[in-house]
Amino acid sequence: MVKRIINAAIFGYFALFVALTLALGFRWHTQRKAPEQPINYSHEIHVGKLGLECLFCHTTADKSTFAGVPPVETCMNCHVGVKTESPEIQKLTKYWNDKEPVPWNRVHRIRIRNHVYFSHERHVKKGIECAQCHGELGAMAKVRAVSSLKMGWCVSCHEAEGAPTDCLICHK
Amino acid sequence: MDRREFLGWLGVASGASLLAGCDLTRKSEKIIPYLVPPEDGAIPGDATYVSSSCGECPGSCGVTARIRDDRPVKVDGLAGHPVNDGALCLRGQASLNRLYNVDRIRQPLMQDGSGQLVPGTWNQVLAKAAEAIKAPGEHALMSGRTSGSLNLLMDEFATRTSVRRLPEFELLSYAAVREANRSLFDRAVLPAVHPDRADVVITVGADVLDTYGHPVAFAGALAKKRDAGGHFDWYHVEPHVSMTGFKATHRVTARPGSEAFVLAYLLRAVAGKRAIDSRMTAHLQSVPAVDAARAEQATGIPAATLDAMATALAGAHHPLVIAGGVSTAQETGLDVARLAALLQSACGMLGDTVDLGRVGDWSRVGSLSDIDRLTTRLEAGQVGTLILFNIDPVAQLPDGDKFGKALDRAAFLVGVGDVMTPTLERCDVVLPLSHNLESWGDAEPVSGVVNAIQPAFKPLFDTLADGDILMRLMGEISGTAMPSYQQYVLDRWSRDYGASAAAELIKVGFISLPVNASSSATLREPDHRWSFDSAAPVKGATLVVAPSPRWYDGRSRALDLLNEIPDPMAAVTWGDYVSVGLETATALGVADQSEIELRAGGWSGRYTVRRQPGLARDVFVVQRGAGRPGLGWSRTSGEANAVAWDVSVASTGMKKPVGIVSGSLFDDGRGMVPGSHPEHFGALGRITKEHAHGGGHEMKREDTTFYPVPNYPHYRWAMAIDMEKCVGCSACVAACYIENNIPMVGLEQHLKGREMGWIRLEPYYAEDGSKLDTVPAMCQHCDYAPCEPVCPVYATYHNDEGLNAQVYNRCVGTRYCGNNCSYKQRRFNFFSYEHREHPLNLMTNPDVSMRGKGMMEKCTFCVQRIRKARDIAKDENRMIEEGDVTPACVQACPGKAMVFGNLLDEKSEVYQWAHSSRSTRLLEELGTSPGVYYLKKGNGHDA
Repeated sequence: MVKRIINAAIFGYFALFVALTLALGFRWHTQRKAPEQPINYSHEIHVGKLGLECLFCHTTADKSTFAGVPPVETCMNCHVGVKTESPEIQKLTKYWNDKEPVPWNRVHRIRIRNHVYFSHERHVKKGIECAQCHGELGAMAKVRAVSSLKMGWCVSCHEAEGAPTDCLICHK
Repeated sequence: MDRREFLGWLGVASGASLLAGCDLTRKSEKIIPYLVPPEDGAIPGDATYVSSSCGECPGSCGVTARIRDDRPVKVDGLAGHPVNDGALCLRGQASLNRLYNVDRIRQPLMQDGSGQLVPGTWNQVLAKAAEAIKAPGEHALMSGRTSGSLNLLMDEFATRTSVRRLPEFELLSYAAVREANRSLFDRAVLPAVHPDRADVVITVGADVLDTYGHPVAFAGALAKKRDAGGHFDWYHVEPHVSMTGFKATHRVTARPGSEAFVLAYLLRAVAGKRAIDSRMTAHLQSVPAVDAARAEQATGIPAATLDAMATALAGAHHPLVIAGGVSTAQETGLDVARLAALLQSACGMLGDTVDLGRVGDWSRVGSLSDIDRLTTRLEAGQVGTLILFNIDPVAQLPDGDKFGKALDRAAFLVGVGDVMTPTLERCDVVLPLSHNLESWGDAEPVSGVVNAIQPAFKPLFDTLADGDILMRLMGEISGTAMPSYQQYVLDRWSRDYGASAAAELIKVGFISLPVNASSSATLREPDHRWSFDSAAPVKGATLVVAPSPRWYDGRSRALDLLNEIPDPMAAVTWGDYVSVGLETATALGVADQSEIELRAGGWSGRYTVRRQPGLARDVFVVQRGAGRPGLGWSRTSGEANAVAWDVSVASTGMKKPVGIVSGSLFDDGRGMVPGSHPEHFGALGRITKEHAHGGGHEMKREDTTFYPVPNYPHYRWAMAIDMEKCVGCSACVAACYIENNIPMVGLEQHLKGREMGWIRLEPYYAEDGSKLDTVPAMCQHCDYAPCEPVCPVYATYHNDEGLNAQVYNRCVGTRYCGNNCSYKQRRFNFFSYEHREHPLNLMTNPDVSMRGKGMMEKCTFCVQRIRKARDIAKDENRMIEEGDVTPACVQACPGKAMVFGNLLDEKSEVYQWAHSSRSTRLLEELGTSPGVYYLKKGNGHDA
């Protein structure tokens, strides 16, 4: 009797493990999905249809380590008058009138960011197209990460392109 | 259980431990954009700079604040500033800690009636203060030393509100020197000095490298002098020990209270060899005769030394004599100051090395006789409202308790300050002060130089700048709206300096104006009776209360960083300690960490012993800010006494540990002091072995090591440190702490040897205490680093630019590397120090990552700065050039003792220094081939 309970416990334990692995796998899959954003901004419309350049909004991508997202003022430059009847634009205008910056959810995350240094400026100046790492934004209604952004992925490109692979380059 | 069951349980246990590694709590991260892009065009990730003035001591050095993420993250000296020229002392570096001090008063406070201070609003406290000032009575305002616009505004305040300005309060007031200059030259000033012009310097008590005058300027001038070459001799006379003394060429110990005899002897000896006029002769005749024998008997200094000093002084072309510090802060202090001034006049120093025209504005600073008068008036109930403006007399005065009780007799007390102090606790309302980096204003370090004080960002808390507090008070009292202090300052600059100078003040941070006052003066008739020869002789043990290099007069002790950084002479961090001579300690039967009790007059205090080589028998030294020794004050000079004798000393038998972070006070023949083993080492990795028999046997490195010769294609980052120029001030240590987000771990961890400073000054004394070498030591970035091969996960390696790299992600915390480092320069995060309490969490440099628990860290040669320089160089399509990269320590050094650069560049300064004949490396015989070169102390001045 006791033996059966122990057997069941051990079996149950490893089953739990399998379930956990499946759950983690599901989570991994959802991680790659586009997260919900406070305003349903569509790159498809702005980049795909209207043809805006990446650097028009993400101005610091070739000047600084951070590309960041544009200040709310950049959006309002057009949307003070364009398509103001859309509920998403009205959400934007509300943020602007409340003097509250839009709290976007970060899509491209390096997992252990603390000790990794990544400079957008260096990569953009090297002539790497935005789409190479970020995918065809012009086809995305919602932004999602197409690359894993893991170290192996970074190193594979560095090795292929002849960029330095010294640890201190990124882990300074 | 049987084997099968056991294996089953083993599987469960290992599986469970795997689960512990999962992190299911990762929440989504936000990106918050700007609402409107910043108007100065600042790009996130790039730094902007604002020039301002340091307010940590009355020196007012020019500083530049580096602003990242809309907040200042580093304070450095302003390059080209006439006083500090790019360097900044440890207190100035730590002034950032004052800005982000966890203990800052965050909003106005007022008494609630039951003796408690409770938060209030500015309107409430200003209304209360205004009401008290408008009430009938005699109201007064007392501040610390002010200059520039704040001084003018205070005068205006006094006129408009009929609040009387009392003499300004500074504990280290230079009252004796100013009074001596007044009575002898009719110029009650603290003169500037030019040590770079001098060939013989004699300082009596004046700790010119610690706190006296402008220590950063003095160290810089010494560096210039040493670079220029030529004869230079410096005698420092003191009754105790100070870093200044150890860095002078000759440190002369005088019996406490006898310094006047030294100066009187020198005056006689020199006057005999120089042409002097009749007025000087009259003065000389009034000075009691002190010949060599009498001087030796009174001071305990051998006649030969005294004679050497006299000869040097007499033969000097540009001598410099400075008296101050503890030697002028005793009963005979005024005599000491006068004798020094007479020497200055007799030897023609006035107008040459001593500049009476270029002075700090100490004209309104009073002395303790003014405090005495105020105390009497307070006790008689004659004071109505008293505004205590950013001063802490209760904590600093020798009889601070008495003053505190007297304060309670005032009708109303208005306190202005940034942290709670014993003075502010007694106030009826507390008006919180903004930091210099949150304020507008200006300061004048010396006449002719004006520093702008400009804010780096908006105040963190509900505080106001000093000028704004006065403006608001004036407005409340008069009922009219007053302009902001910013407006007042800008208007005054335009009015008094002109529009272009005003623009320069904002852009550059300082302006230099012509000085009209004469740099020399004529001697007046003698009107003084000398008392030093009839003063009661010293008996028993002596207590010296010395100004503190870390805390100044005690005001900077509120900053945690200045407790975390060890005192450079004693290597003690946290705790109140007393320096005890080696012989004295043995005689008392005490050792380090023992507790003793000192009694002087009515005062007693308990301190922990720290043995101090070089300290005379039965002399005990305590620093200002460590307790409050009540030694009274001198009625003749008005200075707080720094020396007391007939002190009773007794061991309490207990141990009260303080943070001693040095293993041994002595080198013990290990060769840790660069150049102390001349028979072993040569420069640049060429191990030369000279046997006693048969000439030299030179072995090249390639012969003697099996390691591959390192191949550096473009750069080999290296550092060189000149031991001759290092003044042991620890500015490098403070700069490193702030630049690299080094955690402050506290006393308990220090007692376990877990201090975290990446660079530290290791004090090594000669066995007889006659010499001190302070070795600035950090990760040596060795070619063949012992730490690299032993890391099991390859988290540390040698990169192709000569840096020993530490990759934090990879480190698993084996600590084998720390064990293997021959120089013990690796630090381990035993705890998680990533999360600092607000607002200290803002005192983090975003360019340097915060290390987590279990990670090893060490000096990186400021790789973040190398990185930044490389970015710029890449944009401009060139190599990183000389001067592009300056690590924090190199930038801060007041003595200009450190250089950094590319060793492969033969034109670089580090290459020149590394190839000098004085160049050596630490522990060369281990074959580690370090990247840090030390220029050993030498008698010559060849580069």
